[in-house]
Amino acid sequence: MKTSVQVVLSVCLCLLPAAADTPPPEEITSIEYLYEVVHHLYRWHLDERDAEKVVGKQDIPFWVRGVRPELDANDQSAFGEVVIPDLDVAVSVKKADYTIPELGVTVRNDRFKIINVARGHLPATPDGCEVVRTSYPAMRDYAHRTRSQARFPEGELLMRMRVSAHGQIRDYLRGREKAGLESRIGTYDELLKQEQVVHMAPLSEVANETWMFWETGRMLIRYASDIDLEHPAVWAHDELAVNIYDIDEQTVVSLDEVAGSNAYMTRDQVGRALFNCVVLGRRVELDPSDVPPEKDRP
Amino acid sequence: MNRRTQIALSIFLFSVSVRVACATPNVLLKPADTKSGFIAQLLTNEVPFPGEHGWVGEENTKSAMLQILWVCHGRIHHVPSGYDRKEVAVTTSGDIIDVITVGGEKGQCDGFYRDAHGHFKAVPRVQKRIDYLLKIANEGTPGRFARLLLHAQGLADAYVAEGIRGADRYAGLDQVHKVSVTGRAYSWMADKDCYNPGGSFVKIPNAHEGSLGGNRFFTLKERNP
Repeated sequence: MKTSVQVVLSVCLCLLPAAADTPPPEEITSIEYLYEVVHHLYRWHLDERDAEKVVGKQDIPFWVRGVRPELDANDQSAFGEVVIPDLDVAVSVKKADYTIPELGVTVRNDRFKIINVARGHLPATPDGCEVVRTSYPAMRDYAHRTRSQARFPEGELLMRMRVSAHGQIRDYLRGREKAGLESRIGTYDELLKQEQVVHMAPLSEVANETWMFWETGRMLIRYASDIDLEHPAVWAHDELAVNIYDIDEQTVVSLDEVAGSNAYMTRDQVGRALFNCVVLGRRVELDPSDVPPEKDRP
Repeated sequence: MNRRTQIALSIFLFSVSVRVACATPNVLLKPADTKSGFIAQLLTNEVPFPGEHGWVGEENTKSAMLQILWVCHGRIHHVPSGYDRKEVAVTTSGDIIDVITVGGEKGQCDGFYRDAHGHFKAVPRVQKRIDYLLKIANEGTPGRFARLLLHAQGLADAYVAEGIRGADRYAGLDQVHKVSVTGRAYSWMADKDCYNPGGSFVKIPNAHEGSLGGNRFFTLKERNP
């Protein structure tokens, strides 16, 4: 039962703005940047249902605004939001600029990175936003022309990702073995007898997030960070950047099947990740010698 | 004992006590097999720390911890009119540990389950991340990592001792884009693009701070009793 005090307090809290609006940073109103965002959405979020919403349109507005959430002292990060009302999409972006003394790391993104893509329940009007318009045919042609354009990890980054992927797979399986939990794919030692193959999705120019499909174990590995993926700190502390999804167990057509649970992905999401990893992606074989030997094993 | 020996002994004891004091960790979490230790694990696992995807700031992460606790609490104590506890929490139990672990390893709270003996557990990846966060928090001067871990443990301790502290920021929510809703959040998930969270859940939009600490929170459609 709500007490009147609770209600008043709660209403007040709900009415407080989450973050103040500010004029958008110039960088995120440039058409080049907005097209990069569209390229990312095309690859990771949009599908036929979205395209149908805009077929025949002559121009597409972007509502762009700056956002100023409550930040820690000395955090100079900048935030913004790009709403594409015709596609029913709101993209939150961030240009991080802060330090983590505990890790001895300065987090400074070279450009605004996508931190969230939200669907539905968008603002009804562009109040407080700068409206940037582009020709729909030009935007569509750009998305089409760049649909296979891909940049993959090379050199140091590739090496770090290989080491991390193998280390995370090993830790995942060893951890389950020690805890007495079943693994659909068997033990790590059994798995070592097979060739270990991962498929790496192309890197995004506007997101610090990437996916791998571990073919041998049939699992998706997601790396996401506030720090640019090229920064060695991401891989020195990859524990804080990795998530592993057992797609055989964690995929559903609709979240309605598992309402309220936070353990699942939809087949749409998994399908897109697999397309980007396997079809557009790059196949990489992992070598057990990539990772240091286990301490408590002979 | 002569005076010189006394002084030497005092210096020795002082240096030992300084060493012991220095060795005291910044953060000690309760064991995971205690109720408050387990709740603290959940609150820590579900939110971003500095450098992680979804990180905004210390207050944002602390607020997300509180809202997650409110979801678990609300599933027991604030079941809205027209719903029953089983529908909202997938269990009729009034024990918060059951609310967290219901459905097993891939149940309502991913990775939190009861084993065959009924002991509440978290999967190894959860423990591994928390151990890593503790390691960072316990190196050098206490900073944000330490404060956030202590905050999670403090919320959990207080909850077990005397119930929930702090306001539920979604309690007064009654409409989301013309849909009447019950207020409060009853679910959360990692903030990723999805059309429909399932069931009678309604996404709390950004305008109502529905995205917090890297998570999206969901309320329920209002029903007539």
